[in-house]
Amino acid sequence: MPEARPVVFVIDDDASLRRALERLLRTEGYAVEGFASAQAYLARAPYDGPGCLLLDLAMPGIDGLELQQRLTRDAASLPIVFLSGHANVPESVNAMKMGAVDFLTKPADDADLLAAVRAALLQRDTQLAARERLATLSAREREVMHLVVEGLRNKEIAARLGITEKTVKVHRARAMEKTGATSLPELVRLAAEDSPPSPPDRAQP
Amino acid sequence: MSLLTVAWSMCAGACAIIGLAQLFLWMREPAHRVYLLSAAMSFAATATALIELALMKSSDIARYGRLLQWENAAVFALVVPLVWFVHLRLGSRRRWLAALVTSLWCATLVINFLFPQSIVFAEIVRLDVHATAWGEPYATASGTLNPWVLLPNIASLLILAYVADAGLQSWRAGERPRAVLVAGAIVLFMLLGGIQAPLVDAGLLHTPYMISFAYLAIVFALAYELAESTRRVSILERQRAEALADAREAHAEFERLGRASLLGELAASIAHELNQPLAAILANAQAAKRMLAAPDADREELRAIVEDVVRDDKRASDVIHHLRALLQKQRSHHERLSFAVLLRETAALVQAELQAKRIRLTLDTGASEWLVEADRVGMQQVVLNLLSNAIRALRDTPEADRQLRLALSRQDDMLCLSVADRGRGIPAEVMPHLFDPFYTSNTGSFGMGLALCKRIVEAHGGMIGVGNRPDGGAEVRVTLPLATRHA
Repeated sequence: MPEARPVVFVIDDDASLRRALERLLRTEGYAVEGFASAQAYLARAPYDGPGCLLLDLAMPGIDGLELQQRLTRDAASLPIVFLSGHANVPESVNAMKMGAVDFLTKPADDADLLAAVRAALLQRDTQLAARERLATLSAREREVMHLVVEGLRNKEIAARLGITEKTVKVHRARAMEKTGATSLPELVRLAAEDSPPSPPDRAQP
Repeated sequence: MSLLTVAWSMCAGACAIIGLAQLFLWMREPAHRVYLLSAAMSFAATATALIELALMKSSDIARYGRLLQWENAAVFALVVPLVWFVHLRLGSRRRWLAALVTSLWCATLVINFLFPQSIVFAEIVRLDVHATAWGEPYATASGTLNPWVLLPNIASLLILAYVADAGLQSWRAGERPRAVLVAGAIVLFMLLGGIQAPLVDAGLLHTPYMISFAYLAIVFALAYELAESTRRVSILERQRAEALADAREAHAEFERLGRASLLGELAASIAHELNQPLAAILANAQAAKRMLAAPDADREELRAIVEDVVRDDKRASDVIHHLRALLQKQRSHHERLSFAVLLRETAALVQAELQAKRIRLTLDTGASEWLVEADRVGMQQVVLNLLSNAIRALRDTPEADRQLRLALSRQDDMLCLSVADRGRGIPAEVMPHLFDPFYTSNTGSFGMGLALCKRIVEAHGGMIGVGNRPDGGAEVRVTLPLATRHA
């Protein structure tokens, strides 16, 4: 299957800067979509393919950080590169904690900007690949994987799901095999790309 | 060589020169009638000296009598202006006394010409020829005195009383040098002249009449006092002009400092305004560079890039130009400007600040054809100050209430700007000090914002008022006269 061209979503209220960023990104062969506000971006049909966000921090209405908060509630969100008018340490720390790929200060050099975008796209690729692999898991395998990631022992998982410890081991091995994870940390990282299933008995711990 | 001729001629000459000088000063400043009076007195003194000289050289009784008549006329011409000079110069309250002296002297003048040998003598019996110490002959008359001579003598006493009284008043009013010089000189020399002449008339003193020398002294003293006071006035005026210029400069400096501190507060916002176009230019230039590296560069796209770069460069230089205008030490320059446009431009300067503080700004600019005749920089300073105050007022307000409203409205021929916030309002104890320079209720601010706004608005013929809104928050209202449509 031919790889779809990655899309960079540029969200900045300054029309001129937005146009300039779009041009710069197009020279790298990316597809670019520009939005004048966070609201305009949110109004767009959900995007599932390779891509990332280039997001201005200070905007009227919903600002960059707020948009990031809204988007990262959904595990499938696109990686975000922030572009800020003035470097504000608490804001940038906050953004990075929330999983931003990079936090650039305007005016940003093209090399830095494109490197950040490349990193974000790479992260997206990993994300998509992981998701693809996760999609091959059966419901039970997924359930077991998430409990493993939570740190539960096989015996505890068996008790929780009402199955034998042996069955748990089988599901666990198959999940590792299907996702290609060779270690527990790798599985943890992969599982982060998936929202855990919430069976009714998980409501009360 | 006759020493008497030399002395009296010199006296006459000196009086004439003083008179001419005063006449010249009066022609330059016709409103200053004291110069004219002083000139008249000086010319009268000139005449007195010449007639005295003729008297002492005369050998004919009839001629001597006629000359005496003219001598008295000259004295009249000196004394009457003198009284009014004192009235104008020392500002005496007893105007009636000056009027009385004038009428007595008018009567004297009439009577003087009714008698062939003047008001002084009923009959001149003979002319006595005396000799001066150096042996020069001169004539004096002797005969029976005219009883009417009492009239000018009483008038002279009244003049002395009037001048002394005016001098005293002026002294008490604090005009000491003037009182001493004007009243002192007149009283002293009138006494000398007024004693010597009757003594000569009565035959008790054998000298020529020397009234003219007393008059010369008086005229000189008065002219000197006038010149001196003119000099003092001009010095005072110069000092006043300098003080005014200093004050104006200090005010301008204050306003500039106010603007500088305001811009300091808005630095982040302004940096953002500059940064946006710079970032766009850089991105555009680097995009163009990359496009040019490819073999098939899109010329249309490159043209669009260059156009954007030019536009962004102008945008940045507009910001800088604007800042420079606000920081410069420039004289205010009034022009006709649309307040709506000014409001939008100024609000754009704080846009980033508003976003960062999550304040919602409502802008209701009314009609853009509402023009005011005003200094652009000054008006921007007022609006920036009010905005910055409102932003500060909203600092501790819950996010939902961080609202700021700028509205323009029109009331008859006045433009009304309202800056309203939904903050906590102004505490009652702060209200009376709002317009005091250096009073500040929020630390970290320069504290002259509103004082400066008031100064600027009032200099434009407008008013500024501050109050709390019934539904919470404060409101500043500025009214300015609208420019007339066809001025």
